[in-house]
Amino acid sequence: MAGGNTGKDLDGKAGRRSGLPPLSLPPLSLAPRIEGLSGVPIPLLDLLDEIPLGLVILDRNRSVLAANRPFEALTGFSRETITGLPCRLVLRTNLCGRFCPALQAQNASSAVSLEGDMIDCQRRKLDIRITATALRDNNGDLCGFMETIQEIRTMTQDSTGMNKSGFFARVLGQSPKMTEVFNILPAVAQTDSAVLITGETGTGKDLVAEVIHEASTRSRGPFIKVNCGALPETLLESELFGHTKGAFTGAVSDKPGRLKMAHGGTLFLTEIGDLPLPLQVKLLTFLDDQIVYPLGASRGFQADVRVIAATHRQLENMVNQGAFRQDLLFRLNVIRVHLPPLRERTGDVKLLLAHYLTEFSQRFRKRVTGFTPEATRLLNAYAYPGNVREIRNIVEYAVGIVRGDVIGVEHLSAYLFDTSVEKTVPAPSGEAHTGGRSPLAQAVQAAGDTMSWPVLERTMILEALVQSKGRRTKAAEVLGWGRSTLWRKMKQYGLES
Amino acid sequence: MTTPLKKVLITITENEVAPRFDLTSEVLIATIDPEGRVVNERTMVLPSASQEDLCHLILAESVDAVICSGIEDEYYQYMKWKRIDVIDSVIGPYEEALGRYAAGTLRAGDIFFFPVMDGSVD
Amino acid sequence: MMSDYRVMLIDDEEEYAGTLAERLELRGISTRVVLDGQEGLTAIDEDPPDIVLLDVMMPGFSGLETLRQIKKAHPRVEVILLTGRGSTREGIEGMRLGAFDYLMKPVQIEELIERFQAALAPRPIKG
Repeated sequence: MAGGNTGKDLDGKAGRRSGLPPLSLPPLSLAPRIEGLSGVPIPLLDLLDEIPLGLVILDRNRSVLAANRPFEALTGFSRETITGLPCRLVLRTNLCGRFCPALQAQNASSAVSLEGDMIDCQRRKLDIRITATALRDNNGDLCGFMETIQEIRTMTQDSTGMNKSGFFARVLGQSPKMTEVFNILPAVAQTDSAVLITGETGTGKDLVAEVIHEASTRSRGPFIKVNCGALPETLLESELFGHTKGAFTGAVSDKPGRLKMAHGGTLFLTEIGDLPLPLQVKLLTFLDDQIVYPLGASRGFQADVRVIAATHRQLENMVNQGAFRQDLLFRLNVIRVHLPPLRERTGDVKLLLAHYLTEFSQRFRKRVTGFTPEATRLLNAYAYPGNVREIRNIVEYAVGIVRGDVIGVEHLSAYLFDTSVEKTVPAPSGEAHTGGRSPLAQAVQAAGDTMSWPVLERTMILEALVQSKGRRTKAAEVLGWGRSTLWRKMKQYGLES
Repeated sequence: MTTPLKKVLITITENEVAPRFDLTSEVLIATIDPEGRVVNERTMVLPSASQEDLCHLILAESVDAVICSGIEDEYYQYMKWKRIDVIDSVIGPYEEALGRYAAGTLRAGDIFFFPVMDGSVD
Repeated sequence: MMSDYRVMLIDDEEEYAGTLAERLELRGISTRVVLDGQEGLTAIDEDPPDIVLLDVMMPGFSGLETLRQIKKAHPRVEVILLTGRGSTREGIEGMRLGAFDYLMKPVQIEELIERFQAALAPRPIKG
């Protein structure tokens, strides 16, 4: 009878379109082209496909005229399926209706950028940023809209949907250890150097990477995340660097790698400790000269990408065991951000409990105001080996099942009380790494109160020169910069002589 | 023993299937007889948009099938687990969706949107 | 004639549990009543039933926690949750923790028995 839903992932490309096509569309043979730019006309869609953001062009009624491949990837709908449909039925955001960015752009003189969420064809709710512009002809009359859509990954979702107090406020913490981290984050964001984020699982490495990107000059560019531990080596190589048609059996077309997709923005590699050695070499090559060599390609191409890496492992130990390259660690370690485990963040447990209580109360539409004294005692005493992610899960579970307005011990998972299991107190996590502290950290210390970026950078260069005994090539290596970059900056700061 | 009548709930906005299950505040509940005729149809305005409350309503009303568009996986899985036929990612006018469901031709992902032909700008 | 499966009912409301058990026994379903989660776990360890009917709203050791413990130690025992006041979040948690179903009290005996049979019907093992 009716239905027939098998529960599989919906493949939007299989969405059946029935009925007449909208009359307003040109026949498919007249694919739009850009003339007068170069010698030959450029198919518009080919150009749009190269833009690493979801992009859709709408007519005056906000119906879809054209959409690029990243838009297809983000929503799960193929462009053939959605052409002619009103944008709101395709994007399915919480901004549609009253807060429609396109409508706002129509009344504004510049692009309108809003954050919200959408549901994709895999039934996932994604946080996104939509930037809408009204397109006008020479008379100033409205002829359509252009929207770009970018996914923003948040671990802590601001309940108002917008963060007004600055990017770094998204990372919560009042403890002394976190304050140390907050002190260097602005400077870290400003530099273009590679960053290594370390810390136990659940300490917020993903969020910090994102926040660094958002606060950097690359924030308008893509933020692409790759989990180095998720794929086997062969697939990972293709995933990161791309492959050319015929590079291996099954490679039916060229595929851009994530590095290419991150062009102009940031590539975030989680679990860098899981990156196989051969790919470590390839990554190092990229960090050296910013050239990507896809699998099976004879030539490489330039990509302007800033790399952020994260790991919960002790990479220094892995270097000793021969599982991680020292030169790569050296290069990544230029800027190191270490996130302390929750048990070392005095006072933050209380802060996080309150924050997640509010977040989930709102999300589940319940009025949960607090914890019983007994529950509080238990939650304060717990060591949280899973760190922030664990505390979040505990509160989510409790708020989800509580019926009243106060969470008691009966709403907490029994494993929290489990004293029969021997819990080894983890060793204090430290900034365990060989050699001195990173050039940036040293510069921050040396710069004292004058925290402006030029001062910091200048100090960093001086420190690096001291460390490498005046040898500029070595200093460039220490800083993780190409030689020409160092030369240029030394000239800029008058440090040539 | 199968019930001869089927009860279906459609999340609606204006006269379309609502784009978001979690943001819907209006639903249509209809009963279909074994011959595929709609024998009962009513719309309900919900006090507030909440997917928790909506799931609760769906279970309380012993609905057999839910027609919607965008829905989060967790809630989709939950209703399927409760043996409700969830036909999601449906895009188009809800009356059309109801008609196709009654005729047994509605599938998840179906799109049958007909744009307004009068060229008006809303 | 007794059914070939055994049910354990874990509910702190003695009167309700007693009545329900009686009605099941009248239908030939061998039912045992336990009034508390912890006791239930011990009883299941000693002599596992085929199906557990579990009230989620119990003081002390919560129903969902009991569910988690049961599935951890006895994954093949099917658990059907009973609740006095349905909550979608609770149902979703129950689903996630491996319950077979989540039913609102008062339960219809016919429906309950149908659920028992569905729970015991052979199914592919989830990977």
